[in-house]
Formats: sequence, structure tokens, C-alpha cells
Amino acid sequence: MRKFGFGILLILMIFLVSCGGGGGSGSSGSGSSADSGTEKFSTADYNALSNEQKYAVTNKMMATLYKGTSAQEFFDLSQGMNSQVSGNNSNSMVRMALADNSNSIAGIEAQLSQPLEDLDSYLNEIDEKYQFDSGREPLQYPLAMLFELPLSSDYYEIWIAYKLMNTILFSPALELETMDYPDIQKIFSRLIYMLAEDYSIGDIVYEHMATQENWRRFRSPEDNTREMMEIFLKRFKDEEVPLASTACKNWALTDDSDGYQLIIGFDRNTEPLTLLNTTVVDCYDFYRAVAEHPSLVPAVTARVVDVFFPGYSDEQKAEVVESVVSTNPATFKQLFSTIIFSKEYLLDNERPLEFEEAFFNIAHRINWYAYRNFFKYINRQYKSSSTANMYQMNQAAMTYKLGKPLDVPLDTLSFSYYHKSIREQLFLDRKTDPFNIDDGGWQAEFIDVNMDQDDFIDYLFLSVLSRTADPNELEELNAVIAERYYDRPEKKMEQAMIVLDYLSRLSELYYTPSFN
Amino acid sequence: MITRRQFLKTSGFVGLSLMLPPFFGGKNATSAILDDINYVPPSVMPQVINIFLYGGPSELAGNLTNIEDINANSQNSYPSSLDPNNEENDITSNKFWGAAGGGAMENLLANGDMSLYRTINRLKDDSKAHGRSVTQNLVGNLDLFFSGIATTLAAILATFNPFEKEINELILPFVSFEGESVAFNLGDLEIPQVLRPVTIGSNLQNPYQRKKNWHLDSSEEDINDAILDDLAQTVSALGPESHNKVNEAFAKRAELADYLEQIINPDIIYENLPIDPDTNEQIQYPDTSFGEKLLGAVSLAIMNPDTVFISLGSEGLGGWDDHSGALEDYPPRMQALWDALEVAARHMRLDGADNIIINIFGDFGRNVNVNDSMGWDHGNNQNFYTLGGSAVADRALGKLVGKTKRIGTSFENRQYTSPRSSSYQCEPFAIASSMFKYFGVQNPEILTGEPPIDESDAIPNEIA
Repeated sequence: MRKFGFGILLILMIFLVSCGGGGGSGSSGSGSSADSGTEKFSTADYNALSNEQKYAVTNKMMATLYKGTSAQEFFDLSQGMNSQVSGNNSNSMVRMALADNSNSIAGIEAQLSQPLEDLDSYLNEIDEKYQFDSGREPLQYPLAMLFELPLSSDYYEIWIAYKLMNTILFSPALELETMDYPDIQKIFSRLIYMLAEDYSIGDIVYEHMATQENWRRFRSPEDNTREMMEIFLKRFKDEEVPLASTACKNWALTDDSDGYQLIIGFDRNTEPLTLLNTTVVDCYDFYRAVAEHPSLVPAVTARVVDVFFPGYSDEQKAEVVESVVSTNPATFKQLFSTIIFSKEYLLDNERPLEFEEAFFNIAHRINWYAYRNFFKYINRQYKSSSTANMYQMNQAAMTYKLGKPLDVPLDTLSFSYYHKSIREQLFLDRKTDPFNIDDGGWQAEFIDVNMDQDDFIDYLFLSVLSRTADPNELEELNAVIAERYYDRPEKKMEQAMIVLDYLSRLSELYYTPSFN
Repeated sequence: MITRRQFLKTSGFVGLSLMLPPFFGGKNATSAILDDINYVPPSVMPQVINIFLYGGPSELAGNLTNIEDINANSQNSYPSSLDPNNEENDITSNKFWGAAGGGAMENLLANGDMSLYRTINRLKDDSKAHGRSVTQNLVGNLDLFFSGIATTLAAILATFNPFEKEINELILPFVSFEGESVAFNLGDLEIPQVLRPVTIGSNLQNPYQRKKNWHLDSSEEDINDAILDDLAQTVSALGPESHNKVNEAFAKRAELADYLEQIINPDIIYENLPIDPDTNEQIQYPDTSFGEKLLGAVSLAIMNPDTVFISLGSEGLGGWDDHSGALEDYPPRMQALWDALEVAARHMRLDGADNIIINIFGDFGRNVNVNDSMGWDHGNNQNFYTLGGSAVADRALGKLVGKTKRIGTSFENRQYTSPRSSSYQCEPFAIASSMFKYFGVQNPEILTGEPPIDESDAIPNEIA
């Protein structure tokens, strides 16, 4: 009866959506809407941009996906810098084509719908190349996957799962004593599987709620039921909590000595309870009521919008949420695609980059090589004095009970570690031995370009910031280079080490660009 | 024309932030409410260390006055050590939980180093929700969008300047040992850059120092490094206002690097710890992450009188959201907290730092019924512990305030402590009001909606 009722509700929702919308289940494409919040970024929008802006918007998308497109890939630089990047020349040497689409964003979207031919070979490569802390692989492995796997539908599912697990929705909350590394693996694997099989948002939420992992995060009937309503429905009614906890009264978490096991007792509630606009008896009923509630998709959408539009006011966010919900996203893929491929996100939105976005975007753009222990150390959960890690930046993955902070921590201390990692592990780290997997850093191919002096400086700027240097910057940087006697063609490496160090100190590097 | 290189060489590389355009953090801090403040500079300038116990700590460590009734009506039993009829019980003379810091609390109360208020009780908007409660308590107002208590304090100090120096001469006036905190939410206030918080790591590690780039400078002078910094800050300052936070972080970096290196590095701190005449040895903080952090906070306040507000979470102790396994986890965590606090109070006393106040409170109190996961769910009535600051005007120490009863249905989950009808009680926003009062605000209720905690003799002292 409850499933039939949900079907009626879905039909009514589709009927009431006015136009164009409603990606049905099973489709990886996003629904479109005339509302500006979800209007899709189009080829016309792309062609209206200058060449630098096309490159910048491409990398805005790629950064979102923890990837990057190098200047060498995007432009034909065989004749130097000048003719390719100035003006709004639609006949410019825009070489990059990701698929058969005419704009790079569409090309990226197309790639994200194509499965990898041989996922296992990539996973084997990761296993051979990288080392992880024994027992902590579930935390450390995902970023290695995201670094090594190419864009594909497999990649998209892993990325969406990683993003979701860093939100309040599905965080494994590793900081809690009750949680452990295998819990991360269970949540991650389940999410990837269900995303790949195009399960609905409601189904994925339901499956998650009734798990030991969820109960290890929210650990008593009152705690768990309150949080499920608050997190998945944005429903903050304290008076409903006692009723809901009655439905789950026979569920409990054992203590440390018994291994924090979820125990479902025999004393199941038998009295019908009116809750969430339906009748609920036991805990499964409660979870079903949450998963089928009309507020689920809007609330989940709002949580995801919080991640991608943190600087928006509540009113602006509400507009975006309404716009996204009007497309009737049935799956998380549809939800994410509607947001990240929208004009609003790509052209208007400006926000601080989270560490993974900044670091891996630049890493891919400057031909950076990850050394064997990189993913182990970057995910270490203690205060290191030698290399900065995400924990020190207060951006640890899958750690916080309520997910990563919505505002990227930019207090002086957190940011100092963020900047330290970008500067020391990306820009000042140069791979000198191509055969040594313990030696990481940017590789010689990055600066193996037929340019020098101002062109070379511009190339470095373009590679990292998607813009060229302004005259003042050229003058000052050339003065420093000259003062160090590096103003010779054979001193490109030294020039790069100075310019990249400078780039690490610019605030624009830590934010997405806006084009309006 | 003087080059950037020449200018920086002669200026000694300091004050780089002075080269930033005037709009960058230079506006005066005003708001409609500030205009209505009645202000008298305090005779003794306080310094406040604010320890927020995220998750909502149970009040039982500091209040076992109702434990017999609580235990008789709980779904699951408390240990026999909390049975008052047990001759070997763990309940102190003032009804503190011995194994949960009760001994330290007794000592602090007896020494006049602490007051405890047992009836910080929400009558307004008792949501029992973490986010809402944390925000309201740290902005000191029901309005979630109000400025944080530290920001409001900063605005007050910027407007009335009770210091004997210019505001922009203050060094590290607002510090966080917990990263971002709601206490520093800007709300609709603008405050001078110098009053924006800086974050220091718990072990006073110095991440602000830059690894040397030998391609940039081969000498110790680092002139080219300064040139790059200056150029980057000049360029960045012309960017969007939305980048200001990162710009500020870069602007403060060099200053913080030097300060941590020269003034408050761990060697200097340990060197300056006082000798306890009772032991003839230097006092020792517990060798825990929280102990280290508290040592840093108290030392900073003592060594730097300009630091007026320090925000501390209880990171290193774990959270206080004890929905499960509470009887096992809570007492040692509370004990660890009080072990550190007892040393801190001793440190302040031995150094004559009688203007430093340490406030401890959280989101809310908890149920007193032990649920089937052997924990306590969210409650309301909580304790407020306040230490030190005996020299601060109108401050009362050595007080134990508030009488409670158990409310709720027997053997059901929602049972709480609650103030008796004859007892003093106040909203958590009264804590913020008290803090503003100490800094000279005569009518702090206009900022919080609540009068300050009544510390007068009219409120009975329940001390045994």
C-alpha cells in the first residue's frame, strides 16, 4: 500500500512539473528547466566566452571533478602564446575535444556517461603503484582512484559517492569512537553499487538508514530518529522525536566491549503511530516513511546545493533548490548533473575551492606525479610537522560527524596548512628521477615548451590560473629572475620555481572564477 | 623612483598589511544596537578563555543532587558507586561525581577559584538540536544570524577602546585554538582586521613559517620572498571582496610566524611555568592534547595582555554527545577536562593572573534516563562552570547556585533535571551578557535579550 501510494505521488509530481523536465529513472542525463537555476550551460554560452575563459570554465568543471586540463592539451602552443589566447577569436587554436560535442563541457558530460573498458586494470595499477596504511585503505584509497581513473561513468559514480560521504547525508564520521575504517568501505561500496544500478535517491537513503554504520553514527532510538528527520527531511520538530523513537525502541547499539554492534531486539513496537503523514509501527516503517516523504528530495537537494553554492544567501539557495527539484531528479546522478552542468554553477557561482579541487586540478595541469605514499600521508589523521595533511586543514575526508564544513575552513591556521600543501607538495616539489616511484612532483614535460621570457611566464600563469600575467607581475617577476641570474633559456626550471611559488600566494588560486 | 626591492629593504619587511588598500578591513564597526550601549571602561580588563563542550555535556558530573530519584526511575541502572546509600559511593560533599572530575571541582570551589551554576535552563526555543543550540549559545542570542559573542565583543572594544593604546596596536586580541568557531561569526558587524581572529594550533606548532625556496633567495634576508609576498598581496587586494578571508590569512602569516617563533613558542612557555610552592616543582599540565591546548591558551593570556578572548573546543577529549556508552565514556573524559582545568586555575593563581576568566558550557544538558544504548539523549538544563577572574569587578567566585529536581515519566526516556520552582535559573545567553558586562557594558541585555547572571548575595549559595 505504501509503495502504491508513493507511485501515485510520483505520477502527480511529474504531471505538475510544467515543462521539459523530469529525468526519468535510469537516465544519466539531467532534466532541464527553463528556470535559471538549472538552465543548462550550452554551446552558445561556451562560444560567447573568450579563449582564456573557455579554458577557465573547462577547468572550473574539471576542478569540481578533481581533474584538470593542461594548457598544452587545451591549446595548440606550438607557435608560442600570443595568437592563441588573446581576444574572442572563434577561430583560435582550441584543440581540445573530449567527445564529439562542440564544447568541452559537453565533452566532459559525454565522458561521464561512458563506462570504463577495463576498470580492473586501473585498480591493479593503483595497487602496484601506491602504498596505504594497513587497515586504513578505505579512507586512503578513494583519492588514489579519483586521481588515476579517467573520466567515465565509473569515475562519476566514485566521485559522487566520495562527495556524498563528505556531507552530512552519508558521512562515515570516522572521528567517532564507534566508527571504524570498514564502515567507510561498507558505505562507499554500497553507494557506488546503487549509483551504478541507478537506484533512486529514496532507495539509497532507505538502505543507508537501516544499517549498523548509520547506527554507529547516531546511536540511540531518539538520536537516530531525530537525526534522520533532520538530515534527510530538514524537519526539526522535537515533539515528533519521542514518537519516532518509540517505533525504533527495539534497536540499540552495544558498547565498546561488545564491538558497537547494532542489535534489533524482539520487543518491537506494535502500536500504530501517526508520524510523517503516515502510519508507522516499527523502525523499518519509520525509515520507509522518511525515504518516501515528499520532503526527501527537496531536503537532499538542499544539502547538495549547500556544498556547491556555499556563498549564496538562504534565499538564493532556496531558488536553486526549487529550480533543481522542479526537474524531478530521481537519482543522485541526475541531481548532481543538473547542478554542476548548469549555467548558474559554471558561470555565476564563485566559492572557495576545497583542497581536493584545488590540489588535483593543478596537479593534472602541471603534469604532477604522486609519489608512492602520497595518498597515505595526505589522509593521515594526526598533526604532521613535515607535510601538511587534510586533517590539519580541517578538511579531512569522511571524518566529521556532520560532514565536512560547508564553508571551506579559511581561518589562519587551517589555511596555512592548505597553502603549505599547495606550495610545498605541488609547486616546489619537482620530480627529478623519472624511475623512482618514491619521488613525486611536477615533471620536466610540464616546462618542455618552446617559449621563454614573458611567454614562458604567461604559459605558467595560464597553466595554473587560466590567465596570463599582468604587466606589473611580468615586470616584478622578471626583475627577481634577473636578480638571481636565471634570465637565460637554460634556466627555465629555476624560473618556474620562482613563478610557481608566486602563484601559490595569490588568493584567486583558492577560489573558483565567476564569469559574470 | 624607488623600486619595490629598495622599499622593502629599508622598511625591514614589516607592516606589509599597511600596503593594502584602505577598504581592506579598515571600516569602523557600528550597528544599530551598538549605538544603544551604555559603556563604562572596566577597572580591570578581563581576558576570557571560552571552552565550549560540543555535543551537549551531561550535567551529572557537577550535579548528583537528584541521583537517587534518577536511578530509581531510569530504564537502565546507574552504577552502585552513584548510590548515596552505598557507603563507598563516589559522590562528593557538594554532590559532584568523583570519577568525573568531582574532586577537582571540590578543590576549586573551596579555594574560591570557581563558581558553578546548575540551572542554565532554556525556556525559550528548547529545540534540543545541536546546530541551533550551538549557534544560539555562541552568538548569545536566539537570533541565529547574530554576530558571534567574540565578534560582538570586538565591535564593542573597537567602538569604545578601553585599552591604553590604539586598537590597531593590539597584538593577537582574538585567538582561536579550535579553528573556525561560531563565536567569531561576523553577522552584520564589520570589525577592524586587527580584531579578526587568528588560529593557533594546539601544540603551538608554527605552520606559518615558510619552507625556504632556495631558487628565490640564497641568503638569510629573504628579500625576494618578501617581494613575491608584497606583489601577491597587492594583486590579490584588487580582486573580489569574497577573497578577503584568504587575503587576510596571507596578510597575517608573516606576523604570526614571527610571533610564534619569538614570543609563544613551546620552549618559552615551558620555561615560564611557575613553581608550585607545595611541590617545589614547576606545575604540570596533563600530557594530553587538551592539556597542551589549555596550557597554550592560559600561557598566551598571561604573556600577552592584549589577548582578550580565546576560543577553545574540547578537541582531544572527544565530543560530549553521549547517546551510547555514556557511563563508560563520560566519567574519564570529564576527569581529563577537570585535571587540566585544575592545573590551569593553579597556574593563573601562582602567576597572579587574577583577571583571566575560564568559562565552560555546551549546547545543552542531557537526559538523565539511561537509554537502552546505555547513554543519554539530548536534554536542556545544563551546568555553567566559571573559573578565575577574581579581580574583575562584580564577579563572584566560590558559589554553587541552583537547585534541581527530576522531571519526566518513570522508565521512559525523556527524563531531565530541571530547576526547582524556588531556584535561580537563567538562559544560556546570560553567560554572554555576563561576559559583556565584565568588559564594561552596563546594559548587556540589549545584545542578548537576557540580563547577566545574578552574582549578587541575593542568590543563595548552595555550597555544603
